[in-house]
Amino acid sequence: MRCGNVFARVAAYLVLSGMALVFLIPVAMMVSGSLKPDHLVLPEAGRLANVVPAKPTLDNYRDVFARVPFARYMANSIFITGTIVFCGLLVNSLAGYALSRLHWRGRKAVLTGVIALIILPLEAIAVPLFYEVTLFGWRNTYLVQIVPFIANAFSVYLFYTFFLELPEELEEAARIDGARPMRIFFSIVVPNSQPVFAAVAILTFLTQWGSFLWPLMVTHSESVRPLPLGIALFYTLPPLQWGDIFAFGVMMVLPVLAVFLLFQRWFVQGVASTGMKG
Amino acid sequence: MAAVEFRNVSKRFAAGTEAVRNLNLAIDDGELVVLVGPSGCGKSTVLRLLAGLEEPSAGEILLDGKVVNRISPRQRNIAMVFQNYALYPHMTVRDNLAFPLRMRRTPRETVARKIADIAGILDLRELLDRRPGQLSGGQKQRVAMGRALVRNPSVFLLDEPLSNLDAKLRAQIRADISSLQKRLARTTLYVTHDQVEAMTLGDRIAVMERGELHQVGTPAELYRRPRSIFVARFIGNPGMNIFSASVLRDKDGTWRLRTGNWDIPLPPEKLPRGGSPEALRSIRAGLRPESFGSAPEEGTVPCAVRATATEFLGHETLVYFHIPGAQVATPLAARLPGHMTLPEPAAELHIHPSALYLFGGDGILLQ
Repeated sequence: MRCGNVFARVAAYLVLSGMALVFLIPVAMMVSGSLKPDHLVLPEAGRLANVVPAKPTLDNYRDVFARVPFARYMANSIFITGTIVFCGLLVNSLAGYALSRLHWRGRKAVLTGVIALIILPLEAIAVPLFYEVTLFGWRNTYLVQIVPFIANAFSVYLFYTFFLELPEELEEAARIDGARPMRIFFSIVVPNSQPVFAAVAILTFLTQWGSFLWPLMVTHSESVRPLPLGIALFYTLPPLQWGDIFAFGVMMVLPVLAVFLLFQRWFVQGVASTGMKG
Repeated sequence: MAAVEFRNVSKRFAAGTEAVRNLNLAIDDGELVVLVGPSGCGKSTVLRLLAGLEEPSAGEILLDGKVVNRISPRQRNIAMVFQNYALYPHMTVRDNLAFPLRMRRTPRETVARKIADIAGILDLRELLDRRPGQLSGGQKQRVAMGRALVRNPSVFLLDEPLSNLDAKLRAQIRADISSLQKRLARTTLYVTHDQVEAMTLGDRIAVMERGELHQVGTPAELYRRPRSIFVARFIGNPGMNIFSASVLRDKDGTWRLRTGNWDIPLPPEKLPRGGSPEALRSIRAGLRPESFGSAPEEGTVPCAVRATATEFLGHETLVYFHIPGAQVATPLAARLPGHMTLPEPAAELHIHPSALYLFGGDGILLQ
């Protein structure tokens, strides 16, 4: 019995370690490739023994800044994603609150609509949306990359399910204490909903940070384009230098890592309490 | 302070359930009325209607003679203590107490002074910088009371405020609420399902069942003259014993109550005026557990009982018994002083006929 337990445990750890390696190796290779001279990146790419660079260099990072306007892409990405996250938290949380707490005609129909919209991918509406923003004269602006992504059905649904679980007495106590609905939302509901705000912030950030198709469709100048279009530029910019691409990749991932580390405590709670699975 | 009145108030929810039916109740200025009844009887809905958290489907709610049906909670100047206290978990005790004052744009110095005052009254000074998660049940309860009292409400509502506390703490806080109410003399509506709380706290008690008000009166009135079987059973611990019986007239003209092998002569004042003899053949009779004696006294009638169990409570003993020959599913209870042991199941208890209550088939008191 005991032997069996030990065996099962060892087997489980082996499987889990194997899976962890599958996910970690590409990341390790990206970081290692970014620190190697360009002519060594591809020849050494397949060999685990060469993961640690023999002579680390920052040349690739210098190249990135010299060949493309990296700082501009980064600033654009931070501005676009940051605005979507901030406005998205505000709009979607208020929508989720209205669906979970206020009683109004048509509430159930709207809720059904929100749930139905979750399964609709961007690719399905990209072309009609393109015509719409062209009509508005928004192409090649920040606006076109921000506005269509503020309201998000999945975020609304996450907020809705979280607020349903919040004890209603807190809000009733605040009503009796003299607070108006907006005050109740910002003074009582928001401070007690940190997990769901963190979860939605991280999910929105991740989705928008990697957004590629839509910016490619609606922008054409470097001044408004985000990081994913910047990295794509290297594939069309001769000579093709993999070291530069890896260095770009590392710098693109760092803000994501920072945001995740900042919010991870609440994110884990949020994922658990919204019943959402990763 | 303010007087409160419910006029023909009903509340139907969207699902079709009628939580409150045609409620008429007036609460005087400074009076403490306890709304009591089993869970689901609509008592909390009455409280929520008065607080403005629900709107009545019919009828009028008056505060100081003014109809407040459509006035928002914030404009009613009513404070409420919730069953689970509803303290804001992200705020310190000080901020919890300050919240209702800040919502009324009270100057900062006044807020600080009022918090100091209420913290003194409720012994909260040491707790001001703690958060609700760091407080015990009793402390949370005091903070909730403080938050309700700090802004000088005209009406004070308490929704089962002691139900989350252990028995010892409950007794202590019950006494605190009682003395606080006497000192501050606030119009108070107190909701509970515990008849002991109702009897000890209320100037008057309102008993509710299934959305309807059965009876309103002082604790003594409700105990001595319950209008229905429901009230009789609800008030008192244990509640009144109720059993089926017949009232028959003897050849000599005296009226007697019979059930099983009990045969008790009824004093004339116990008989309903104008009732038909047929209706009296099948009635429900009631006797409080305190009305039994173990020894004969002047005017008492001996009644044979078949004892099933005894519970010794220290200063008294509860004896559970059946009436021989009568079909009663649940045993009746008698409360006898001292330590009683019933050596044999067959015993005799003594009752005074004047302690009997007679109820009609509809459960309403006959006298």
